[in-house]
Amino acid sequence: MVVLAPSTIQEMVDLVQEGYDIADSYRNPVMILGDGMLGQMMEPVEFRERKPRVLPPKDWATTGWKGDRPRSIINSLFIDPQELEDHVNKIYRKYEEIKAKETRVECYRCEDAEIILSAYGTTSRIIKSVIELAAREGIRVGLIRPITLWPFPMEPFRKWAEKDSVKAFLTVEMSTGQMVEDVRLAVNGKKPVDFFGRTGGMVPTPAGILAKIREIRGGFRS
Amino acid sequence: MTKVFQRPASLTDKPFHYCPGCTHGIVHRLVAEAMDELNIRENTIGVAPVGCAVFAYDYFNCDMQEASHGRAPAVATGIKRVLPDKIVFTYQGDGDLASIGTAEIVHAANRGEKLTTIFINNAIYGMTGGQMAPTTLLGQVTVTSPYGRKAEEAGYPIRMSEMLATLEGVAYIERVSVHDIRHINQAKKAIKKAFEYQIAGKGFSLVEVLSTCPTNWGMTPIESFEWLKENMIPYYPLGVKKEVG
Repeated sequence: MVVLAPSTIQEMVDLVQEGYDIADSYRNPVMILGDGMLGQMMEPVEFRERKPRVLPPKDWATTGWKGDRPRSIINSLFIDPQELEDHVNKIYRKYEEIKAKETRVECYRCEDAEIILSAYGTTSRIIKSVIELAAREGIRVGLIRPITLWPFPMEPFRKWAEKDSVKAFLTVEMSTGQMVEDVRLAVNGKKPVDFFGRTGGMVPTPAGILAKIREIRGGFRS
Repeated sequence: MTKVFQRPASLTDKPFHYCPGCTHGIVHRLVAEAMDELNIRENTIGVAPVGCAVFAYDYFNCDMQEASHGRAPAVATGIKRVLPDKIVFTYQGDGDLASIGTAEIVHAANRGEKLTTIFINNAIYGMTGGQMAPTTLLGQVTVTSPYGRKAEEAGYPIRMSEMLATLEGVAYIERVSVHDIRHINQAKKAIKKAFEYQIAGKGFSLVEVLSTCPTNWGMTPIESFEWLKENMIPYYPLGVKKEVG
């Protein structure tokens, strides 16, 4: 399932519009992943006119069969193993296409970073403040903010993990660690990946994240 | 030579997978004949259940969808609301409609969705191997009620038609049986009438068909018909439960 993770109300509005088109293009569910803060927040938004995508014809729809096309049957059950394998392969080709065309990510101040943080939604906004605070202490921190949690943006993680100036990754989440597994897969052992999380409605504070950053930095500086 | 009997155009030529003596085949045929006679096949979209009739989409010769277990009335609601000029029916068993899908059927009926539901009540879960269903009679032995269903443990057999007939959105509900020719003919009339109610846009229509499951009842087909007549009909009385003018 395509998962879109907005970090502002404006982005949520934009991604809802986009989400419908993605769902329609691939005939696939799309989820908007908000969080408790985004859900209760008020921010001014603009409903922008956007150019709609060219959507595929719905030749599969059940609209009444008059014999001028094959009978439309919408089902998910395939008893014949070959038929089921063909179906699974078809679905996987679709997933690959979605990965290639729909992955979205924001990279923020990663170019000169020694520690790259990763977060989505509200947490990613807190981290933008943390980056300023860290800079005042002379710690160069960047942020990779996945906008699509699936397809997960593997590429920027791979790219920055290869870079010598990047010493470590830190994933910050309002959970006990869900995205961190994707980050570890993407970084693939090239650099250490640490985790900082709060749960139950406790929101990570800039001070808390900064303390974790200092701890990580102490590790590779000493 | 005059042809006096043939397969309805609304059935494909795929052989049924049902057990010998199962009444699904009879009911499929009745639904197909009704579609033929009302000339609605090209305009009809059916929704298959989960259960023995899950492959209904292979047998009804019209556009079909397969719903998740119990969700046929919700899927059918979506189809009908998008395509209000089409005829939409669900075909559901008692495990599907009276257990996991109770909420869907109650609310679809209560909203007065202009759908037709064919409800197969054979007092047992067939496909999964003969477990007790909400419709299983008191005292009836199944693999999960080996000493017979007891009210103090499992409550009472649910009369779906009577319950749904209390809802304002319902236009027509009738309970029929297919244990002999006379009743099969009555069932056919009821199914056709249910579709006519939908065509007229009067509201929700449902036909409950008392059916047999010789395999899981552990009886011959003939014994099954007798058992249905002697045990099911007294508890599930036949007849019209609601009919708006």
